[in-house]
Amino acid sequence: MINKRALEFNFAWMFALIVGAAIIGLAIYFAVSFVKTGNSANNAELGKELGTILSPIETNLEITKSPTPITFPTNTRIYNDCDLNGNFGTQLISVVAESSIGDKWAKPKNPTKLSNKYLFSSSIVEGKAFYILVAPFNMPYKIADLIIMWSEKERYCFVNPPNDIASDIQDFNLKNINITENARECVNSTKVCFSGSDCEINVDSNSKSVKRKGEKTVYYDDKYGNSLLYAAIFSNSLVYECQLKRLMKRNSELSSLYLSKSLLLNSQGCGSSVLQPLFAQYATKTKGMNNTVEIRSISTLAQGIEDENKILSCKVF
Amino acid sequence: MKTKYYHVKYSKAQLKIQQMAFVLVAIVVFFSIVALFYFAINLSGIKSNYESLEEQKTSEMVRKLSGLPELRWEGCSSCVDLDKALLLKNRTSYKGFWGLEYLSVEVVYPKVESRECDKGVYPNCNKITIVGNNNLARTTSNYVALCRWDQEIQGNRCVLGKINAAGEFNSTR
Repeated sequence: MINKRALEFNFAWMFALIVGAAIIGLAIYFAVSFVKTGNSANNAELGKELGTILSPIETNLEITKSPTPITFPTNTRIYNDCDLNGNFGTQLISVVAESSIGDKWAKPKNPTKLSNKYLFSSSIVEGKAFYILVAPFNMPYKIADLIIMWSEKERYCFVNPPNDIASDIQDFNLKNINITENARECVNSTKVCFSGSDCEINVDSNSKSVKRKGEKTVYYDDKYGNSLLYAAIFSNSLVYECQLKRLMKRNSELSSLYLSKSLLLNSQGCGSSVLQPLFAQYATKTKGMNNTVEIRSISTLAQGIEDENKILSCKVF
Repeated sequence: MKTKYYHVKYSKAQLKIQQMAFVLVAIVVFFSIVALFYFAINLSGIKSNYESLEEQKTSEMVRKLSGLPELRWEGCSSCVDLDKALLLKNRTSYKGFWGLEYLSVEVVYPKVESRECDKGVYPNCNKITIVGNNNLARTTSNYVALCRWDQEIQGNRCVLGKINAAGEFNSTR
């Protein structure tokens, strides 16, 4: 005999199931939204903190230094972006912490905007610890401190670097950078060649240029230190070019400021009639920089200004 | 005419549905209130964190201001070039560059006439306001040396001064 008893699926059950599912669905949706909002707020806060941290690590002195690494509690991505609009351009920094809910890496939002910082790195740097090298950039007067950054996940192998670069690496105990005489000794690292052209990054000290594989050649100048060379090695060509243009914009404003100072000193009976047109020419040249190769002619002009300033009794800088 | 009364009979299931509906509505209302509280606390936390970060940024900025190429006196890490400070005043190209609501340099010692500097009275004045005005409550200060080339002594002269600055968040308070 067939048992005709069955589970009674009445209206109460149906109602409870439908409304229950709706409530649970809404609860999950809101929970995920809360977490995403929380993550966004946290990322914005981290970006702001990073912007604040970058101020004290800059140097007031004329020396290069390597402060303690910046560490984050979780795996983090730092997005280094640069905007050329305005008189000084803008450094844009976004920080995104790895998330275990939803997308692993959220899209960078609300970047911290800084007009007077210059961060040289890859466009996206990922890791928990970030190593920093701060180097003053002079041409011929101080223009800014360059902040050069790489992560614990990036390893570099410098093949036959010049003595001053090698001693910098050893003196500052720069992490994740090895020095070798033979490129074959470089394992699992980005090879940086200072003589030769079969590495991922090739430095040509004759033409004063740096070429990354698959990227355009960028130019540096080392008359006033190695800061631009380090910047060109550790950042990709797009970041380097944009930041160098920003530096030249600031250089142009500084040149115009020094021109005014020279005129003020002139009115006090101490000035140079030769220096003023040089400052004016320098301001125009640096403001209109289109390509990094122009750094060579800018550097020659800077040398002329420095020579003229040296012989003054009341120095402009 | 005789009025007819109809007795509506509610089944047990119908009563349970009503009961359940009320419970569900109550749960939704309860969680909404909890969420509102959570957001209120969380938002106030974000705001205070933002203000604290801005305050930190300003105080770090003030510590480093004398080292900025626009203000620094070459060859001295905590000296400000008074000539450059004067020339920066009213320079429109630097608008927004500092990230500050207020920035000034002030001569502390030796005492000079208490008035705002401009090209007409310089150097017989004690204050150069580079950014904003002086009506902000919370400014951070740092003592520095203020240096310039002095026509009288035909050489460089440095006096004791201070830099005053206030972050942009102060203006919203």
